Amino acid sequence: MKRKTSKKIIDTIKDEHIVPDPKWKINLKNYLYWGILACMVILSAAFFSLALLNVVDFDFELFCQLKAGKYLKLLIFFAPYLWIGLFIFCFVLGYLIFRKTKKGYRYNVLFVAGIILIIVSILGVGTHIARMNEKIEDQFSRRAPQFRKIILPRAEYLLESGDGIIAGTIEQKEKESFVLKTRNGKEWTVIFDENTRIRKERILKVGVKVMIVGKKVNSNSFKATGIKPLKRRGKLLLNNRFYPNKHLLLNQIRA
Amino acid sequence: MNEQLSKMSDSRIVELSKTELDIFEELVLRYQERLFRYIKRISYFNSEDAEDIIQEVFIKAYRNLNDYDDSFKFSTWIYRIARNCTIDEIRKKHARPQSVQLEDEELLKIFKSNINVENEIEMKDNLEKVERIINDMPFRYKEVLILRFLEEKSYEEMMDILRKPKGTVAALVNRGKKMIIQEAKKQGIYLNK
Repeated sequence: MKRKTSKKIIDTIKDEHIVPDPKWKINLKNYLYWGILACMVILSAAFFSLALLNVVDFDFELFCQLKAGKYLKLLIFFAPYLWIGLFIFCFVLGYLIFRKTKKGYRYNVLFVAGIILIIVSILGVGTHIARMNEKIEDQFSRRAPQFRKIILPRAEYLLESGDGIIAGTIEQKEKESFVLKTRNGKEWTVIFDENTRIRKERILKVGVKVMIVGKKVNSNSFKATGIKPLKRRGKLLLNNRFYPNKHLLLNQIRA
Repeated sequence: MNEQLSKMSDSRIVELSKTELDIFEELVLRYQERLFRYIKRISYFNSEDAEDIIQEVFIKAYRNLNDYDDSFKFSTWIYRIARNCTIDEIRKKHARPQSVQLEDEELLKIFKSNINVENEIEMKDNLEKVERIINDMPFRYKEVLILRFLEEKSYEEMMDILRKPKGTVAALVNRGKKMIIQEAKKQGIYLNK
């Protein structure tokens, strides 16, 4: 019986002209998984660096003055949820794909997740150091104007309302006040005095883009407690395609 | 020639089978009975169905000979194919592998491997209860207990057959054991402490 069954199997293979599949064909699926995994790691690293850009781009001078409670509030307030969400999605997908590879099932969850996280972190930090994340964000802002509202919905609200913080270009300068034009064309008269903390006096000239922390006096006037240039790592913000970043919000919370 | 073949390792035969189909018969002869028993143990299929699956397993194995990695045991690789083919067949028949066909000795072997029974004669009398306990277990636990105690596979081999991390396999075996002990107590089978 034993011989009969084995003979039958061999005869079937012969009759149906079955031959071993070539190695490349068998490995194709595995290569595909590794390819997708590589894409997921790269995407995770990109989203990680974008999240990093938004988290580390604080005004550290002001940030250091905050108390623990405010720091926590700040973290929750500024968290780049979209990037974090996309990062987690790609990371989890990468992990699941790894489990599908030829020997991926052999390793435990923590080990695999740890290794992927280390690779993603190294690539993400590298991307941040190379400032590629700024370019990516810039491209997003340029190509998808609605993008800003998705990324910084709170910033949109806060900067439009003049509630504690305003930002724009100096249009006209007086001794203790100047006219500031916001991105949307609204004009504010900004009042300042010797108590106003001004980072670099020379910024107070026509055409310079600044952000002001203070208090709304009426619908057109704003009393400044702090004025600073709008720059991120030396790059001016608040032009047509770029939006003021998180440090604006930081000052708002502080105020 | 046959004598020479019977002395050869599985991986050597795999290599030779890639160019000479008749040599592949040696692997079929070595594993068909073991796999036949295994398929019957993890399914409810009758002998005819199990034989059909065996045929499918070896054809699939032959087609995928280039996929065989000799860092695995051949038996592990062929068991994995057999398991996948059996589960596919169960799914095709839209049925769940609830009731397995284990011989009385096999049932007792699983049972005794997991618990110390006070009186073996009494346990034999309670064979129906033992059968119910094992049959009522979810498939994933039953499957690991069959691999561990009837097929006598190591945890490494089980990990490669089931494509699950070693820790998960060990956890499944432990939970399976616990389930048997709890059920045995409920059914009034006396156990040694």
